[in-house]
Amino acid sequence: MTSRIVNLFCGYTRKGCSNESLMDLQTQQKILQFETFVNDVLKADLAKLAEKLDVKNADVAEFLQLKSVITTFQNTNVEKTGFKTKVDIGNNFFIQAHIPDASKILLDVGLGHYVEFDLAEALIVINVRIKLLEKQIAHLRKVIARTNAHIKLILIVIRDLQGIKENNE
Amino acid sequence: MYNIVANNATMELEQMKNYQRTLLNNVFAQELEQNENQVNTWNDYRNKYKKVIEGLEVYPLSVSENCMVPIGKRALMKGKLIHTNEILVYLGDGYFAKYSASQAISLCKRRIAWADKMLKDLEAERNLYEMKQYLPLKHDIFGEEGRKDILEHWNENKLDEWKILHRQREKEYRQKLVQLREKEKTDICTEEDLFKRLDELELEEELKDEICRLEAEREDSYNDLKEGEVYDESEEDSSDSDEITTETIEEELQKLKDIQTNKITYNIPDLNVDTIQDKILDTNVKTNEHLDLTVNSSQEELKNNHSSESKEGISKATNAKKTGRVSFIEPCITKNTENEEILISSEKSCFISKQDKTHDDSENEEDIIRIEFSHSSHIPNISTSSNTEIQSPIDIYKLFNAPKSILKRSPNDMIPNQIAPLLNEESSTDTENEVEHVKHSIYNSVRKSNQGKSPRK
Repeated sequence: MTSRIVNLFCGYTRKGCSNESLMDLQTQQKILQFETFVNDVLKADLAKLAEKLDVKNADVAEFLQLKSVITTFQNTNVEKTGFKTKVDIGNNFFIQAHIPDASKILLDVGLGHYVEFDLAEALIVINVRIKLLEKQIAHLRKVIARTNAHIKLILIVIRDLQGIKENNE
Repeated sequence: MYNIVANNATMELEQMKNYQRTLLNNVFAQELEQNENQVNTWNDYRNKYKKVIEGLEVYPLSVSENCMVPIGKRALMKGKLIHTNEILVYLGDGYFAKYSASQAISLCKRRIAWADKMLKDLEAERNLYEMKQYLPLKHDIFGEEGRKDILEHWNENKLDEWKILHRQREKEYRQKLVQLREKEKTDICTEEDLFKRLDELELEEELKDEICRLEAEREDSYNDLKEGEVYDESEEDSSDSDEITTETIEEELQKLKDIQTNKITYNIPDLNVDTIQDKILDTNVKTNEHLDLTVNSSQEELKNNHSSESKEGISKATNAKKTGRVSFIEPCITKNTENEEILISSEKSCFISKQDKTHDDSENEEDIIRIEFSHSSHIPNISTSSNTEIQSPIDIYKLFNAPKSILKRSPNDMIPNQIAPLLNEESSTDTENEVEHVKHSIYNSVRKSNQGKSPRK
């Protein structure tokens, strides 16, 4: 990412100083290039990253909810008595379901695989997952901030180029 | 300059058009996309309900069903479905309804039907958009500007109404026509009316014939003049002839009356008539000699004809009339059938060309008076009236000399004789004495002819 931007600037500085009329042309070309780069690359990246971040956040929320559910199971002693719930069979049609044994839970470990855990084990796994997700989220936030910075930088450069031109005129 | 400006304007116009077209197409494309999305969502909705129905058909079959109960999205727990015939359905807006499985299925079906309807509507919409998109391309709607919309001011209902009205009007018209005809018939049925009408028609006929003759002659002269003569002369001629015609007509009218009054006097003495005729023929010879002298060119001849007409139009008219009258009288003495023939031919004799007359005259110079009638080249305008109205002598002939049926006459129908006795009464009621006399004579001759024929048949 950064190397691409550096290339962009290098191209400009190398060719730039030779001729004034050429420079005008080149600046115009460069401005156009910067703008397209901002719009087509950086902003698209930003959108993707934002989407990823959203997914991670949702996952974290899910896990947090699951954690709280499991803790309530533990606290209310439901794991021995079992409980009743409603199962959605599609389009908000609910059928009553009875869970006799609430001591075991199957967790999604990724790629559609489920592993059976005790409630305590599940809590540990969930905590690990949450930690992992939080790290990923932090990384994503960093990347997003950097992209934003790039966008800002290029916008400043474009403004500078146009400002210089205006001063010359 | 102007051209350039105009070009620019046209270019701008075209650009505008193109822009409009693209805009329109974009709008349609967007609409179609939306439409497709909606179709997809509705299809999903429908399929989901179908799946639900499948589930609902299966679950109630068993009392309980083992399943994995989802706890959130990421976790499952072992469990089983119980009360499989009790289904809680979310109705929306936080309300739930408890249904049995079959009720839930019927609800699903209702919702599927609704989805189907929506899909149908969406398809119709899509067809509409596609039509709108392709119609301009197909029919080149943006091609020219000078096109007009087709407007129909008449719809079918209006047309039907009009037809009904038209029929009514036609009926009314027909009825009126029938009434008029009946009236006419009744009018003619009374003998007085009939004879009045007859008189009028006779007079009219004679006048018409005179006018026709004069016009024909004038036309001939006109045509001849066109060949070589100067237009000024022809115009003068025509104007002269116009005056002449009017004069001659008036004079002839007077003559007619005179003749009619004189007729009775001529009826008795035949010699008298002969002498008069001779005199007139003499004058005729003179005129013809005059003509022969001047026959150098056709134009001159015709001019002379005009002049002679103007000079001796009266005498000629009398001549013509007298020849006609002579023919009237002679058959009375000799033959009835001939009488009628000559009656008709007398009309024609008016139009006998000058050459014929010279021929006649050459014969007349001898003591034997023979009048030979030959058909002139002029086609007499005998009105072909098929009605019972008598407009010309030929009509009389037709009326009374109609071919009779082979069948034996019954005593009840006396059609031909019916009119004859009625005519007798009529004479007293007539106002004009002169005309009355004439009527009488004509009537007598006609009746005689009838009487003469009736014994033969």
